[in-house]
Amino acid sequence: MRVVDFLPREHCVASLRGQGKEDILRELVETLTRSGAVKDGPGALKALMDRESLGSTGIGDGVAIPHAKLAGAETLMAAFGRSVAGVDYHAVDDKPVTWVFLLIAPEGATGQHLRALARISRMFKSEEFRRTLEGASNAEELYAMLQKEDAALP
Amino acid sequence: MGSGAGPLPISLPARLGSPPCLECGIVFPPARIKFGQDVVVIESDPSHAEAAGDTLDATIINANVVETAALRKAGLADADAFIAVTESDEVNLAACLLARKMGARRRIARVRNEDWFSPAMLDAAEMGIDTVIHPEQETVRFIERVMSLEGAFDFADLADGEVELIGFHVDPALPIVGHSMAELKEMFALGYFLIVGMYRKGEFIVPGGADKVEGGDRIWILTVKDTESMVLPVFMRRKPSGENAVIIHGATRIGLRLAGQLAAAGRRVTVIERDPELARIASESLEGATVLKFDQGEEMDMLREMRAENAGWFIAATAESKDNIVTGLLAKSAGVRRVAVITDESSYMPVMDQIGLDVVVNPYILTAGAILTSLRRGIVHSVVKLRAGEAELIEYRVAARSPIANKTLARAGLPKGALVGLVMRGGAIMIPDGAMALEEGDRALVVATPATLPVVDSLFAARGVFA
Repeated sequence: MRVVDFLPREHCVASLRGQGKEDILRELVETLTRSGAVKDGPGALKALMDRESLGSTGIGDGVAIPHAKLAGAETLMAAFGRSVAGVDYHAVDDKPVTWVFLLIAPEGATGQHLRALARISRMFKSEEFRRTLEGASNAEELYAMLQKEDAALP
Repeated sequence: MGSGAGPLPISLPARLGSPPCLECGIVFPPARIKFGQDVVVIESDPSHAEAAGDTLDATIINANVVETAALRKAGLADADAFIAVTESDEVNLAACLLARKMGARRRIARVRNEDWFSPAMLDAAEMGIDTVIHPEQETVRFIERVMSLEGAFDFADLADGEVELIGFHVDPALPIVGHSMAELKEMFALGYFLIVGMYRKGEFIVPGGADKVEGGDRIWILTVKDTESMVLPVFMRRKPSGENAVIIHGATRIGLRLAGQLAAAGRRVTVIERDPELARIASESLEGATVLKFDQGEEMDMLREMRAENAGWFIAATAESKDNIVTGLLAKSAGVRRVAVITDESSYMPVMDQIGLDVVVNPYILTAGAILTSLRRGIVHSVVKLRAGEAELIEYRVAARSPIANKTLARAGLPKGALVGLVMRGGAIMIPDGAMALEEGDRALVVATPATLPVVDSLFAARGVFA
């Protein structure tokens, strides 16, 4: 499963406006409701925030992978955004978060998406890739870079 | 290998019979599995051979492994594999050369001296060896990996490296504390980890849905490779910073190799050594690390002078298990945050955490695991011991005629104390639920306590382990 299989271009945001965790998660959920991928926006946001309360999904190096299961979701869906200024996310390394990769999985998924998750973590572990992404001037470029990296991974 | 599977001669370590080495005996094609005449052990020491006869379900030949008569008697001409694991590199090498000549189809050798197989020197294949196992390399790799996983005390690669087993200490302040397995499954919706074992107050638990995580537990999880960046935040409170310093006791092969690699990775490494000659050689050969010589009884003063309380890690890597335990305890009391000790005395295992040692490394178990993994045949593909044998994690391949195949897991007859953790099917890795049925060709990672092992084995068995 490639990342672009569940991340369409319209779910990418080049510059998140939110100042805090909940704000930016709301912005990304809005891309999902706007495209029709998610119907219950408030439900998705609540599930994501509930998960954050168990411990931040900020995995360090400016990257966060917020995620939740949602009743009514049919397949794995993602949204991706960049906060140019960085937001306080209570990440493991206390660094502000720039890159937010949001995942919504269907209820009852028994882990078929585990490889996809591994792929995303691997992608963002690369400092070189993160530096490349910084050069993107709009959502199109951001998406193209993701696409390219996705294709390059084995 | 079909029904014509031949014997599998093994020359066990010379020390077989003493408690630590019984372990080796158990993990080479696991003794608990009824391999009947499939395994032949050649052991030169009569008392060890006798002990092997008492503990292993195998044919034991008391002879020198490089005697051709003994090898012939062991049935090398029909052997699927020959495993040379005596304490002597030279003997292992010679035995493998003979084994190739006599027709053993695969040859695996334990070799300590890594210089032999450097590119300019020997080629293992030319020497008749299919797989070379380096105990020191396995040990160093284990320690480095555990050090890279904050809060971890155990680690193993499974399923060709696609799945990782990680053991964590549970900090009482973690949000997972007080929650049951069923709750955690809901809370961590994407299921990127599964708790397969818990150790609490001297008891090993294979958790069911209602079992709760408690502060102070040691837990083992299965996770898919590369998702650890997501998993780690669940099991650690906050990444500690500024604890870059590592103290290694013992300028041994393991100590020096580890020192070199950690220094190259940017850690501030100090090697302490009592033997003046070893200390001298180390200071001449080691780049990027400091070597300090000390005298017996000076350990505590030295640790104080080194400001050990600022060190992130102390690793006791001398050749003496007991010394390692003692200096590990001294380091802990001197305030080092995490202490790892290398020991083959697994009989101490139950008290290790009570006395405050964070990580216990047993090179015998690591070596045995590597050998078994390299065999990769039949139904059992790998075995990892949790806490030196309080449970095992076994990778089974499901055969068409395995009793467990094509039944839902809820009705497959798995005993309490056994759990199917992850299932690999085609390209997918899945955490199964009770409604899932295993199919031919699936690979299943199963955790089982010793009491449940015979039942679990029989559920997965087709006809004989190596069939």
